[in-house]
Amino acid sequence: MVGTRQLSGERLFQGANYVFLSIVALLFAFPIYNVLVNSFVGNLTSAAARVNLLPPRDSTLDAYRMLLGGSGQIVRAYGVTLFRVVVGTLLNMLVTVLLSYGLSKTRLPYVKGITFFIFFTILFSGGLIPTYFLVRSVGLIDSVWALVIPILVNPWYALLLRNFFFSVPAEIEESAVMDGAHTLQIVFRIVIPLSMAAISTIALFYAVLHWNSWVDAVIYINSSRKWPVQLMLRQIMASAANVELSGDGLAAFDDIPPGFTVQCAAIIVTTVPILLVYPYIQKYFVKGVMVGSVKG
Amino acid sequence: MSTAPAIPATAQRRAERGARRRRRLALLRQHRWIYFLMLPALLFFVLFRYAPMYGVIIAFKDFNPFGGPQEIFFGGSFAGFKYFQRLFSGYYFLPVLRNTVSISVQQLVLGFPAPIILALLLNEVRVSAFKRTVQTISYLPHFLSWVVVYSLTYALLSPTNGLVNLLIKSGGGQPIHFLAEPGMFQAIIVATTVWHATGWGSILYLAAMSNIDPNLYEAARIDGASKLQEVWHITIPGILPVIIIIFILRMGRILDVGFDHILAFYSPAVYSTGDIIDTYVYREGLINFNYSYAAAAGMFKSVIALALVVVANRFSKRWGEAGLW
Repeated sequence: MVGTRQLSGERLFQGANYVFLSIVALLFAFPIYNVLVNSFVGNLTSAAARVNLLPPRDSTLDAYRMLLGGSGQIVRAYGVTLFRVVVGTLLNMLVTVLLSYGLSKTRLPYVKGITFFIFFTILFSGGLIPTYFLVRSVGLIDSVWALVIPILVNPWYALLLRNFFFSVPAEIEESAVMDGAHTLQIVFRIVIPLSMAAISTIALFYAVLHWNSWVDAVIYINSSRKWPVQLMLRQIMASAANVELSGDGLAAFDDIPPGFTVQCAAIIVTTVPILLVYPYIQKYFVKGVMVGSVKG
Repeated sequence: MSTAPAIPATAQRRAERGARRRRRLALLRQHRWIYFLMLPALLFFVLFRYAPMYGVIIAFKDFNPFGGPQEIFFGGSFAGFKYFQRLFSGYYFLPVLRNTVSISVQQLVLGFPAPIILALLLNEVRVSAFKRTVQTISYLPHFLSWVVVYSLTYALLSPTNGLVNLLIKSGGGQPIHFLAEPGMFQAIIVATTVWHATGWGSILYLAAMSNIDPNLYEAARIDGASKLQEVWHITIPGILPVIIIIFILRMGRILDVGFDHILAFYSPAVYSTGDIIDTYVYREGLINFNYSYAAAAGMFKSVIALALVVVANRFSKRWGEAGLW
């Protein structure tokens, strides 16, 4: 008797749990779905704004054509974002890998001191204003390099990568040294190939950081031609009317898509790359989070 | 007599020290390339992290902000604590500090348990495809910038086109300009924080749960324990160390509300409840050009934050958990 009652109680809990978690998943995904549906709204349906829970019958891609056609602002902004993601991440990785390799040699003199020197920057910083003056002093204001150089090395990621490097077997390196290999050869021919999973993880951390950053552009970049796509989205959200149309802009459309549709399309355009990629990269991130939680 | 053995001991120590120094020099020379390869990163930290730490000196002086680096970092006249006094006696300091702490505490109260609850519920799911799907969807917000999160929120709450207001209007109500409503701003910030961080935050707890010995559950079931008892007596104690360390480290960041989060969401209409130390520093310094004053406000935050992290770390160690260092 007790057994069956418990069983049905268990079953009730399981059922409720599935329902609840489904609702939670819906809550996580719905805001994006809402924007996606509204990005297709044409002029007809939007004469008066109305609730669209499904793509409306007169769905069009006008807003996307308007945003992406020709030399629209958002296309240029994509170029800036691509630059910071590709060039920025490559530079991040080159400098971080070389640093982390050294930091992993904890038995060499001064390495522990250097590690603390790096770690301390996590705990304390000069703050926004002194950093701004530093960036200005080295002449990076209004240069796209201001989006790359001031975040060249992330101390967390460097220490994380160091933790990964600990697990490279010392014997392999030692035998390479015996064979007269140069440090550079050891790093590029042995350590990096053996740590590709870890290196991909950190590279993805940097890439997503670059993709999503925009405050640095607010602070350091004056001309909107050098804005990354996140900042361009912010501008578009502030006023859809300011969206600069491409050369053949207005003429190509019988009806200009309504502002809200353009805004929604801009959100999708900014979000789609990461939406497509993140399910595949999440496992690297999860691994990074786990290793990061283990004290090095 | 008593000094006689001291002389050889000192000599021996000196010899040892000399040998150690020679060994160290030999190691440095042997591994010079390792140090050489670290140089670019070290230069970066000196220039972009430590130079600004020295740069907080501008909070203590009057200088010509349009001068060169020489003027900014080494010139100007000493102003003492003038800007700190102005900050602490100023009209905006207390409201800004209050907003910062208020938002942060709400983020903690609602945002801290949320990932634990999500992890507990996910842990009970037996259909692994369902579990994986919910997890993947729950990670999604973590990969979105605050500009995107703001935009998604705007699409739900905008007074003209936002879904919520369209529903209110179709129900005959008056639209509410949620994002410009000082009374609602903090709630929106807290809600979006929870939305953004809960799925991702559950990872560590789920990992800790998967490390709990399954025999414990087996034994509990034989003893006739209910699901709730299992969770209360096995799962939660099993993840308690992780909960404690995450909580303590979170306490150390109590002044970190999220600069880019607030900057993306706030507007002059909600400064009264939405302005935090970081945004105040940004506006005073880079919009109003009160550089020394803003640097003083920023330094106030940095110093408090450092103290909090150090205290939190000490607590973490006292509780027998791993600290940050």
